[in-house]
Amino acid sequence: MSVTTPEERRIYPGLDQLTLRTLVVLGAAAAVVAAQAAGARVGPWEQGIVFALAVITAVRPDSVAGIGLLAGAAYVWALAPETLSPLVLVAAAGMILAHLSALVSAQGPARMALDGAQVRRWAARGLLLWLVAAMIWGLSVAVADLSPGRLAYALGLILLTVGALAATRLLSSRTGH
Amino acid sequence: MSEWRVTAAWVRATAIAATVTLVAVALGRPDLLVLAAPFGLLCALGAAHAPRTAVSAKVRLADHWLHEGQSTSLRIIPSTAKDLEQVTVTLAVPAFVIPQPPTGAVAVTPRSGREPAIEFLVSPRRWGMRSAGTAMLAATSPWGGYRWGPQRLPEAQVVALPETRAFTSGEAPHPVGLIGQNRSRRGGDGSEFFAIRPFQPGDRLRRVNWRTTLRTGEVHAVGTTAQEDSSVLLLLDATSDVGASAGVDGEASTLDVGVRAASALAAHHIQVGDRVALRVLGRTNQALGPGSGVRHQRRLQELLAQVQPGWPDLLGARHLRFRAGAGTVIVVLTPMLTPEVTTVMVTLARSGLTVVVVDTLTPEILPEPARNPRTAARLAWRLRLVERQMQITEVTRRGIPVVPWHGPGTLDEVLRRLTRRSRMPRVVSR
Repeated sequence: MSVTTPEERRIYPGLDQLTLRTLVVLGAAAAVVAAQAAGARVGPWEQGIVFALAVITAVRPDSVAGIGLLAGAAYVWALAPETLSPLVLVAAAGMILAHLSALVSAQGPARMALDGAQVRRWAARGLLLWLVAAMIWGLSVAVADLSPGRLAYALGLILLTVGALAATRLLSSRTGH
Repeated sequence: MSEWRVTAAWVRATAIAATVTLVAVALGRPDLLVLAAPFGLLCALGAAHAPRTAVSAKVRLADHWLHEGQSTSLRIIPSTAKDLEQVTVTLAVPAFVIPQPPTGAVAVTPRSGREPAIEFLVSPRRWGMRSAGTAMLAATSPWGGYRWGPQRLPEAQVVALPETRAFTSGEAPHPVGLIGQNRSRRGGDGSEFFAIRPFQPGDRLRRVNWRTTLRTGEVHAVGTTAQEDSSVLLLLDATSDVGASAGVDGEASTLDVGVRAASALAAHHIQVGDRVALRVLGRTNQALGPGSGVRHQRRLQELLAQVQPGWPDLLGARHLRFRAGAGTVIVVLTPMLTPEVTTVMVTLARSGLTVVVVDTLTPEILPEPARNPRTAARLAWRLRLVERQMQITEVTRRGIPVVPWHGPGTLDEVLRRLTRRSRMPRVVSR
């Protein structure tokens, strides 16, 4: 006969979570806008799909919609005729922002307050990743004027060798050999 | 047992890095490599920091016993901080338990050299035995590559003792013991003034009243009453629980009122040196013999916290043995809705014991159907309340006082009248 009155608990996301999830959509929007500014002709249905995927990713950051979102953003950029436009860095920044926002918001339920240390850490990492993108873009611009031939192949081979060495070193330190 | 799994973010980064790189190479588009490179790096760093240690966690509750409305710390301590970049714990609490933070979810970043503990405050809002909540632990490896869990952790149990509000009351009508603060009918070595009488052998010199001695020429001393303890049996009717319960700071059901009143009465009588016993008429049928002292009070509160409403196996004056000695005051806490309990009360009163009824069903406790004229249940409730009124009339007619519970002073007037009545000469049939 006793009636149990439920206690009031906060089950809705706070302002920090809302802001973070909005960044997922804003990041995707930045990538699309950058592509359009670079001359890509993006149809309304393509924009709609990317936007819908961004919203789904913002709500369910662990869902496969995130892969579709980033793939869609890359596809939209691929429609741009100019291959070495500096706007690609804006598109890269938007994609990194969307990805990392989804990553941080997936660390707990939507009602959870964000851990400030994590936000700062991932902001710094995001900047680092963008600098890598900028470096690749700078390298691309630098080698663009070179005639295709031995130098390009040599550069590619050096990069691959450095990458392989770094990966081998990292993995061997983890396995203890 | 959980294990480390790659995160959705790592899968996303890997898929994008691989696909876009392939397309970039196939189409000869270096700009697509610019988009793929950050995700490739993220994927590589996540894989390079693949964790190797298993994670477990301990759940530590600071206090397993506390009063309703109080709060205690619930700490979740992961076994290791190695390989953990971020730890998230969610806490799903049962009814009448409030967590702090109110979201019931906390994420922390373990720091080197510190124990990676996550702390919640949990507060039971109603007496009883409750779970402190179900905690789920998830941990993420550096660069967000792998995730452990969510893993369910063992639950901690908390016993919420009933709140003991301030309560004072009058003296017991039949003090019989050796200690205590109730005034006896006879003189003795107490502190309450009784009379100025001629000096007797054994009187202390400091008790001599010199003014009277000088006036009368004969040595007189101040006489005091003896102070004795009394025996109180708290009889809690838990056969039914009527009304909504919203915890210590909300609405109270009849059982809430009964349990809290029993706790307050026990605290008061034990404080003044009386012996207090408890008997619960309900599904759990707790019984505790008379005793005094802080340990006895704690034991009594523990039993009250375990009370569950329900019908006992045997309920009737014939089957119940209360072991109440002569002079015991029996305080019955009941909503007066069970005729069998009324019969028990009348039987105890007829055997010469002092019985006082504390009515735990106040008008504001009545459930919504009993107050809403549009529901059919209102008629049933009306009939039930008429039966209840008949029981109250019957009990009162037999000299058992019925008082509604209203905190301090509830029993003052009743006990004063009973004390006066017990000191009056009585006609005894032989």
